[in-house]
Amino acid sequence: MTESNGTLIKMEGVKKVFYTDEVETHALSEIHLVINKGEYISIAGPSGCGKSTLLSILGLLDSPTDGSYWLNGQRVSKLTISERTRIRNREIGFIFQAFNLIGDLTVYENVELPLTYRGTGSAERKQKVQHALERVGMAHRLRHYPSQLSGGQQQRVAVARALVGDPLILMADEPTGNLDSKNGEAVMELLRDLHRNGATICMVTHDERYANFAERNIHLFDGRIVEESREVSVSA
Amino acid sequence: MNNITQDFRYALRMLWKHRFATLICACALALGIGANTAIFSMAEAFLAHPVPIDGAGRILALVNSQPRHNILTSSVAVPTYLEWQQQTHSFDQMAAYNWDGVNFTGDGTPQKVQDFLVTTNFFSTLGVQLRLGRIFLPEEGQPGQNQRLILSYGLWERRYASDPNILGKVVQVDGKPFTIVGVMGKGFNFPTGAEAWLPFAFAPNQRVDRNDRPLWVLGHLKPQVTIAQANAEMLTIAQHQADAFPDAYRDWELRLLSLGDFATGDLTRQYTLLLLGAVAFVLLIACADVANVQFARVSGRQKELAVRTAMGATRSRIVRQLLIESVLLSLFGAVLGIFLAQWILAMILSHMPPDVARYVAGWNTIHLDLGALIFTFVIALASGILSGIAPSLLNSRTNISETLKESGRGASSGRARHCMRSAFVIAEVSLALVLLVGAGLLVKGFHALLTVNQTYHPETLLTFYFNLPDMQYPQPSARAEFDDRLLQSLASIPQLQSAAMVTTVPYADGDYVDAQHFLIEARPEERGNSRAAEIQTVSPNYFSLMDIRLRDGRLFTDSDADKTQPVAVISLSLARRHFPGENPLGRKIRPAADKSEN
Repeated sequence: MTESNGTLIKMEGVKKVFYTDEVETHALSEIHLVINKGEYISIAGPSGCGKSTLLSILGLLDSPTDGSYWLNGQRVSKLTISERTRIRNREIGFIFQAFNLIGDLTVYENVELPLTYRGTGSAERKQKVQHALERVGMAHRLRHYPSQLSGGQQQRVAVARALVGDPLILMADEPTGNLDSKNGEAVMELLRDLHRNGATICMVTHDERYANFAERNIHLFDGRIVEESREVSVSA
Repeated sequence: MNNITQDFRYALRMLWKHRFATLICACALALGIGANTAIFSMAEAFLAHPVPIDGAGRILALVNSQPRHNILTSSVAVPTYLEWQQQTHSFDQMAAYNWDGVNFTGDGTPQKVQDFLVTTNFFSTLGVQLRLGRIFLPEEGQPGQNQRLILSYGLWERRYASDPNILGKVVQVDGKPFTIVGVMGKGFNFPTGAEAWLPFAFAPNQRVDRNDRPLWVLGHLKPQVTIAQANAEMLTIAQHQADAFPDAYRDWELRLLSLGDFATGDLTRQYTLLLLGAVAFVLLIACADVANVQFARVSGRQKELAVRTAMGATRSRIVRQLLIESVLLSLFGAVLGIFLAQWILAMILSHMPPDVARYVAGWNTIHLDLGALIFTFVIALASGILSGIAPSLLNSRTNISETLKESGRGASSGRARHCMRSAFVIAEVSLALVLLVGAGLLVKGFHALLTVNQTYHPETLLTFYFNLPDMQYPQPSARAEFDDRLLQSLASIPQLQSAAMVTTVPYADGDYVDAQHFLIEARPEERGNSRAAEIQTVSPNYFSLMDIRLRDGRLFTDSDADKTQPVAVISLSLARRHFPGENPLGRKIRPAADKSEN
């Protein structure tokens, strides 16, 4: 399929149904979504509206029950698990609400993780990890373990891990959910900074304050997009 | 390679983090691996190297067998051997030996020595070198020229203090002077248990008697001749012999065995394989045990595995990482297991009575060698994979998005994992049950073996063997007189309640049973259905000493030894087998060989 040069993600008619004990749960219905390169998108909505499910499908952590999904011009909705894993490793960076750093790995080893699964050489890994940690201001804590860091610091490291592989897009699922307001603000500033430098970001949040950091807001309700708005200016 | 190094480092870190569980698992595996390594070492000695001879693979034993009578291995007659030797083209040398037993006297404490009568080409057939002296010369295989002797290293060391000037020394062997011409190398004691070797000088009557079968025959294959070819040739030769002398060879067949199989014997092989199977079960139980622990450990790492997957780890990469942990754990267990194996072997070797051990082929070669270490490494690898593969495969398949959520179900097990864990528990219990039943049967059998002697209380019996030299006691009457004087002397010892004589002490010769054919008067032998029984010659008070109850008839008296009608007492089992439904008292039987001397 031929896309315009700016289109990074395109979803058409995406549905997600969960089957549990003969019960069908329609988490997403008829999702049509386009995300262009360099955009900063927020996905908001009440609990259970399907925003995390949508982010999972966007991030290739899950696959849609129906519909089409193109990522960077490649149709990815019907890929095998291993193909999704490979694309996810190379094209997508994740930031989770619970940070999801591996406690038995140092900061360096956590950030290095995506590169090890890509087969990147040791010298190149070292350089990229160093650069990523410098971007988030955590280069001085290389040998520390996550348990030795504050929440805000852990999330910074998680951001570095998401950036280290130069992904096409950053997927952030409630990145400030486990942080106090000060640290939350700091992480959001970091994301804004990254966006200014050209990063494409798709963020799920239920906090309106942080939703306004994005330049485009998508509201979900009962698994459907009910509203889409564009921010003209973002207040600091 | 870099990635594998990372996985190894991480695995070590995780094992250290959960070091208590690691230690428990390593100990469980050590039990299984250690037991396997120990028994493997024994199996290697018994089955692979029972005879410490270079080139043993080219040496075969040629034995007779009577499958109809369940005799699988029997010795051969001298004429049979001599004709094989003359007619074969498959063997460049063919030697023979016979069991013997002599008394060394005159140069120290009289000592009963386990010797073997061997043909003069015995050592050259086996290809063994002596430590001192020479092998027998061909002429020393003739009557009158055969008073030569080769000592085992052990006997030379124990009796003669490793005297370097031993060659040429004359010792009294059964009252006759024998000259020591050689000392064997250390560790060589074939046939198993040999302490000395004497030349076998065939008597003229032995060279023509096809019914007397004293020889165990060994042949060294010519180069390029296969065992199958040798077998085919020898079977043809044996068939010609059977055609020429049908009465002598009726029901007898020829078998060719490898030297190792011959020396080890069927019982040792069976028990060794049984033991190998048993310890394999133990290892499987340990693996199932460790697998369950691994399940629990890995299940608690669902989030970590989900994060790794989200970061781009393929399933195979996750499985590899978990398997490396499992294999490392196993290798720790293997290191402990090697120490355990060493201790097990030391226990076994130290608790085996020397008089038993010296007759077990390969016993002296039991040790932990490179082969055992390689075996240990291989089973450790296999154990690590076996105990880790199921937990790895099942836990690598995780619902990523659910697990990564803050409020996700996280480490819940899932039905598949529950089923697998249940399966492991069931397998563990089943294997343990089988082992338990086997062990119970073994204990029961051993208990039965011990209690079978309860009627005569073996702990109260003192036994000894003696051989009367033919030169001093050539006549049966002279031997009988000696026996009477010995019994009277023993009876006069106040500490002895009674004394008796028997040809062979019960249960004293392992599985060796000297069954002899016998005939029943007025009952022709059916073709192919000859009768055999173990025949013992006993003094009259043997039955009372052994507390063997009389069921019918009478026991022996002193007058039975005089020149009267020979008498016999038979066992209940023989009576039932050969005189079913009738009273055997008064019936006449005689040995088929018709030996007139008792």
